[in-house]
Amino acid sequence: MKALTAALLVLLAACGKGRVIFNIDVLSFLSASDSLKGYNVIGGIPQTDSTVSRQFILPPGFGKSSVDSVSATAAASLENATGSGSVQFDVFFSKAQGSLFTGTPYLTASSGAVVGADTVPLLPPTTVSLADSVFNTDSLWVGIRARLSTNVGPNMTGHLRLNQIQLRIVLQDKVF
Amino acid sequence: MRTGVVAVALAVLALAPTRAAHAQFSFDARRYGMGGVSLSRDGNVRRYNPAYRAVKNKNHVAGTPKFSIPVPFGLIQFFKDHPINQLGHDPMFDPKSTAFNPVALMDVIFNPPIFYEVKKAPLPTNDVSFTIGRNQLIIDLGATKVLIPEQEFGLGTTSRLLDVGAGFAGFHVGVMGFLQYDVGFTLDTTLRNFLVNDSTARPNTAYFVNVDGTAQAGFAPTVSYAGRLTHGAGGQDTDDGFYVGGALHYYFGATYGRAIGPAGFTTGAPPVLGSTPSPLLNGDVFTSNKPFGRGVGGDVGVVWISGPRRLGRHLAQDEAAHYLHRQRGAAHGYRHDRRWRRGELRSRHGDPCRGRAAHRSPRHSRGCVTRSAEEDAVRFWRGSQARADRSGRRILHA
Repeated sequence: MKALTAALLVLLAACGKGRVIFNIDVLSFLSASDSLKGYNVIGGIPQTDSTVSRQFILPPGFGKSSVDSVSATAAASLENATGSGSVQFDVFFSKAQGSLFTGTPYLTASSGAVVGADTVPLLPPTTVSLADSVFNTDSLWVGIRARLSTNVGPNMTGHLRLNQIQLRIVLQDKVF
Repeated sequence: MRTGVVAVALAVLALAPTRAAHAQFSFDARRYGMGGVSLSRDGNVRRYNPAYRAVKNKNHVAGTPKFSIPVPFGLIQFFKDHPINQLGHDPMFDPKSTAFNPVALMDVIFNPPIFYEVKKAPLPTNDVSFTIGRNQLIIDLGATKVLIPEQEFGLGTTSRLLDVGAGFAGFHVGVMGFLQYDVGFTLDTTLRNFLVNDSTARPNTAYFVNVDGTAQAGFAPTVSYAGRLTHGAGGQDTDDGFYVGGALHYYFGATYGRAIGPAGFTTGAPPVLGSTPSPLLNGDVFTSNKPFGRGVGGDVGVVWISGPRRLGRHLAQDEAAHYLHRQRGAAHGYRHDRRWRRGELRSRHGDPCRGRAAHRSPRHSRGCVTRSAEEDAVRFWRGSQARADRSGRRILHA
């Protein structure tokens, strides 16, 4: 399918000026177990991370094109069963796995204080980055991090359910 | 991957010239601007409208130069932008360059920068979006969707490449060469839905274009007659008047080839974006195993000239000629399913004097070609049925 996309991009180059927009459903590249991540953390832990990282392939041409803008959108929900604490939901993108969770996350949202059985939506605001060189690549890593902080007491258990991770990458005119 | 795609794109573009070579490479700006239409009563016209042979071209205007030297101003700008001593590293000509664009290169080849563009033509703008997921690839071509043809589209040209001979008293005997190619493409429904209806690409699915291409060449001894029926107001000293002409061709096909079949790819197993599609190239290639299939054809034409105004009309009837194989000592063909080409821009005649040719005929007048066909399965029509099938080809152009 990369071949089809590449061929279309070549021919589209002949169709005048314009933008090439990629709407990427990043969530679909994650497995079911990645999309519904369980946690069980004993009480009184100030910070512990649960992460998921996956590589996904972009159509050829990204590595050589200039990215005009990137919009990232995500939605998740914290389905807490027991215990209390808070969860910070972060989404990272990187060209390399090694540097995935370093730096500032593209998307971040905090659950605030959660006590007992409760479901809390995590809706980080959409971010827009301009001329981001991270996306000048044919393959990209996405990392999801749940940073838990538990209160003293029973274990904090539950699930972090990912509902949406979407990228909208706009290339200006030249793909090749 | 990219090299392969670029190679395919170049091949497609190279095989798809939409205008006749004469028109593209003409140094005459007036002729270029008129889409290659012949501006003089030269041999280009005579090959098609035999009445022109009687025109002596006496209408010389005082002060008209005997010849002109074109100055390709456009090349000055081109070589300023692309210095000759750096062409080896020029992104336009270097496929390894990240800025290499095969479409731009082919545009230069098919539209040589001979003329200086005083004003750039405005380019349309269009956004194209791709929706990509693990099992999803949807393309929204935006306004470009309207360019995806629903029916067969194609490219075809028939050129009379040469016309040599001698004449006396209105009669002319000579030999005319002809070259014809005709390529038709039809998008398979699955591919068209993918491109037009925003449907997602599916795994293990074939996406292809049905290709039907024919190429052939040959020569035709020709006998023609042209004469002037009436004189205009200028009398004998001018070309004004009404001319008629007729030509009879006896065609010999020298070579012939036809290829039919799907070309595309088949997507792999899910996820559709992660799997590598396999090429799909199937079909049949037919070539003539015995040259010199024969046939007859004819042209009649009229020309009216009055001062700077001229009007020519031409009717051509080519029986068989081009599409014949010989078998058992006789010329035969097999009928092509009649298909009208719609929504296409095609030059039926390569010669630019046919810039306004109106093609209103089936693709093949009577020719050799298919049903679902193997070469061995060719059906030959004889006798009355054959004559009934030979509708002939009529071309009216002014």
